[in-house]
Amino acid sequence: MRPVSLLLFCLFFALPSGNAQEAPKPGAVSGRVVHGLTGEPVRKAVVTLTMQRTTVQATTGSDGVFRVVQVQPGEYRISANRPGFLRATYQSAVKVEAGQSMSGIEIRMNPQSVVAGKVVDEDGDPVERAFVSLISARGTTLRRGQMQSGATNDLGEFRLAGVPPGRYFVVARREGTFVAPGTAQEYGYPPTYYPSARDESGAAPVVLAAGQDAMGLTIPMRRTTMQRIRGRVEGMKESAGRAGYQVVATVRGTGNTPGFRGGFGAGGGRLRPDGVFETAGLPPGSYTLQVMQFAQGPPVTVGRVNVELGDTPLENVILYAGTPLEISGQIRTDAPSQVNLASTRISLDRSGPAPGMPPVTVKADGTFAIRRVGRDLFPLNVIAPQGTYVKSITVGGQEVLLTGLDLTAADAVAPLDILLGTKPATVNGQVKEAAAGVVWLIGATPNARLVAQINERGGFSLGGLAPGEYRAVALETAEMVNEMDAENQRKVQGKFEKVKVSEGENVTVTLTLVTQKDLESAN
Amino acid sequence: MRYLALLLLSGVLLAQKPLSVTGTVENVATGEPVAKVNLSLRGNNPNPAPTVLWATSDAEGKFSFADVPAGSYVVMVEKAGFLRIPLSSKESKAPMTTFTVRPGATLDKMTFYLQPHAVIIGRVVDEEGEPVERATVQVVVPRNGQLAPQQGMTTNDLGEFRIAGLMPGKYYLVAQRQSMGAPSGKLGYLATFYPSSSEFTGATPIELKSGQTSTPTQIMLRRGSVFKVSGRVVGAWPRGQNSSVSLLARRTPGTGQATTFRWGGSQSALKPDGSFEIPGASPGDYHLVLISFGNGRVAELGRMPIAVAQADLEDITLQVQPPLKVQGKVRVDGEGEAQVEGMSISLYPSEAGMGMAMGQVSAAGAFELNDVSRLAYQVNFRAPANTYVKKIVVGDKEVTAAGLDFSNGATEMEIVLGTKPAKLTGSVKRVSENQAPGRVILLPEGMAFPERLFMSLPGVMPIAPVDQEGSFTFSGLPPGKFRLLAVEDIQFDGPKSKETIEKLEAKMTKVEIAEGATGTAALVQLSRKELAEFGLDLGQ
Repeated sequence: MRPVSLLLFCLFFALPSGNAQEAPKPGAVSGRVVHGLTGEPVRKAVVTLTMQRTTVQATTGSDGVFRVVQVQPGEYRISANRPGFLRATYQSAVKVEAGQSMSGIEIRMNPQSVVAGKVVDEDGDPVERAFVSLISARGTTLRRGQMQSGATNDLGEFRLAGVPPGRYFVVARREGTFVAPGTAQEYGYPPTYYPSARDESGAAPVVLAAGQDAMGLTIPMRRTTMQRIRGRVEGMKESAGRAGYQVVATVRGTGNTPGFRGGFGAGGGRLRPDGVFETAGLPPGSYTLQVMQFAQGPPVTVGRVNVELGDTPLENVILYAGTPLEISGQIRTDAPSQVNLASTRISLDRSGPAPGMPPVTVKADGTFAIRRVGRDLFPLNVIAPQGTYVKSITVGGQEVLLTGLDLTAADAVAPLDILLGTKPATVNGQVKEAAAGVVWLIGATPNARLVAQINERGGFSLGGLAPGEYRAVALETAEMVNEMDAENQRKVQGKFEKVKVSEGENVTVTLTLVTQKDLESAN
Repeated sequence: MRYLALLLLSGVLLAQKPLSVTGTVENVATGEPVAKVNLSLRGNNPNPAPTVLWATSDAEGKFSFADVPAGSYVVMVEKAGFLRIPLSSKESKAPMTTFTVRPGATLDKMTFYLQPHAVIIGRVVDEEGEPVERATVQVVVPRNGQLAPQQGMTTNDLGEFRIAGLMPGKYYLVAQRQSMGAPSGKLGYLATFYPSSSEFTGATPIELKSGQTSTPTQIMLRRGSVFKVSGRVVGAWPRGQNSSVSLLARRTPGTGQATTFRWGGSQSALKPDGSFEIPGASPGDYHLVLISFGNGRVAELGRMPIAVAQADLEDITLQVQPPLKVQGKVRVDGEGEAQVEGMSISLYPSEAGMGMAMGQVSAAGAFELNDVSRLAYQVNFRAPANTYVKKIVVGDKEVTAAGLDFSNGATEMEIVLGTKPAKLTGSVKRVSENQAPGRVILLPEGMAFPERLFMSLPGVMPIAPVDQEGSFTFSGLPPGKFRLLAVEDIQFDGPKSKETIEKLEAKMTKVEIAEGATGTAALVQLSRKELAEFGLDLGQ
């Protein structure tokens, strides 16, 4: 995916440098939008052609036909939107030449699912402004993400539309703490998972097939006494400006449940100049307290401690704020090669919902430095240049390719050594009776989204692979990759092929397509 | 600590111990107690931070605030189905403004009357009657020759909306769906008033009583010709930051009447070569504004007035005007000490705009305002205790009452504080016990009734609440001549017709105060009924 977007970017820059007086003759794109399950035409769908920040649109007629005119030459992504349907993307980018008319583009739109219901409190009264979100309950190597979300209205009702098929946890959150009548005791409402659980382990996932809705869910929130955590941050740098620090409490142990921002009273999260902090009221549980430093760029964790909060306030918690770390490193190849090391992409995507770090610049000699790295856990995300694969990543002789970096207790980091293999393996082959869709390869490497498009003759090819064992499966649509959790994988396990490749090997396999219907029927 | 600070600030030195405030919350419509209401008391003490106290009502609607420092408070309630501000009495329809906790007195058996909110429900459809998803629906009221937005929301996938939390009153609904990719000159959606008019003259109001939910409304979006506004930005803009060019609705000068409602929402990201293209602009008057987002700040880097009529606007050249860095100074002119350190100074564009600038005053009295655009601004700050604003100078022009103007590129401003503030206290007589205590409006002599009341006197809040005993106080005033008006309700943000203004002005009481003096005034309140007779639309 990334090389494609890079290419588009270059193309975009190249365009305006042409002769401005002679604008190229625009082209046109036409086709049809059909219902993904029934094949019937979809009317009033808005078809959008996108190239960088340029968009051109057209709407389908009652026969599902669209025609986008005045399209400047270039390579476009095509998508379709229509209330009641999921946003659909055409399988590949489409290149429009000057003056050319393209036709025969067929876009299949799958119907949306809706999750709707009501949030009530312990007395059955509606809870207004509760924040309800869907968390994907798929359990594969892919990271769990928060999907649709919305607030309840004054009747406690919520409606989350545009949901793709899948398995979801429905979680309701309610901000703020309240004071029990006649006392000073704070109480609040901890996040509640449908039907009525404190975390995912007691939750019942909502399973949605394509176009299927889950209506009338009731989520009862129960009040819990809340306690505060108080303490002090030591070791803050005067020069960094103490206003630039903040203490954040995150729930530990139950996935990515976002925590509560600390601070004095409601809202504010700044530390007092003497380093004293006090969180807002929190329900009892296990928390990680982090000191975040805010300066240029994204916030960086400079200290952390795990705490257990019981039925009484937690006092005198001491947090040590260090300085952000700097990581240097070297990229090498396992054999002499002409590979452009500078095109290696490295990122330390934080585990958790915080925003990512800026991209890392690799020099031509393969050296790089990552500045302002927090004392945190980081997965290592390295995309090798064309014709190579990531063979190993070591820190001080220790392999970290699979584990990621644990810097929570580090004061300094040894240089990162990234070794690229110059003889990547390739898996190619044929998918029976298929002219579209994707092939997904599941390997041992984390974060690897190894997906190849199936061409109109049913062929596919996936290069740049590390040697090892993979499982390959052909899927009818690219979106289905996200639905392939453990349960769905089990449903269609007969259609998975095991592939073993050694260094530089080129292996051919034949696959049978898994359709959307296969996932829905085989229960 | 906070308690002490409050005492010092309000000058009340008699309080020996904190008091408690207890009472019940009642549904004004049914007379029944309301359980599980979250109540907050917000102290009127300004610096360093207002006291906020919280309580929740029990099953009998009873609540209790313990340890309430003496002072005056505003009460807010939070309960699904009710308005945030309680009524001051069962009889009056006016919202409660403030009440005072006096040293030594006890406040028990208070009753806060909760008013059920009104709700507008409905859906937005296209000309074929099909639901329109993600349309913006806004409740508006005509005010001061403009349509002031109240509450709004976005339609769901069924085209439905539900706008809750409304006061009883007469409202207009307007919906819009951005038609992003509509080719120029083609039909796009226009801002459409309920039931289906692109002009305000064709709008039908919706009248809601307290607690009423409207019958389902349906807004059918109108289509009309929309046009493309394109051109190029010339000059140096920060390339590394996201920048966009937006259309902000511009008031048509001279009419004073609201006719159409436009969102300034249409915008285009600025392309690397400096070009921009905004599709789907409906005819009207706009400001074309270049905005840059970076480091959490929003800066306006240029604007020009444009009018979209019956054709595309092409080849527009929008000149970048680099934002100003304004060096400010707070000077104390007079005897005595004043705590200027930590004062927060903020600027808001006087007309539609995005850029806001804010600075903190150092111990030396200096402050810096970044990203100030070349626009007219209103300044907002609170004068420190025991001071008043003598004058404000921008560049070499005194602008104390006129508002700040940076269009000439001035980069210096000075706030001069006097150390002998005047004070105005007094009492307000209500003709009937059923009238709410209300508020008092303060205007400097010679100043016309301003469009936005709270902007009329820099450094001073020119509206004071009247407490349950009928007294009010303005402090931090400059010496001079003032006019006062006590009103039961103030939903309006400045009256509209000349006739109304004349009627109101005739009812004002004149006061003159010398530097450092305390003036007094005894006022008679204008009831809601009288205000309505003057032509002010107060709802209900």
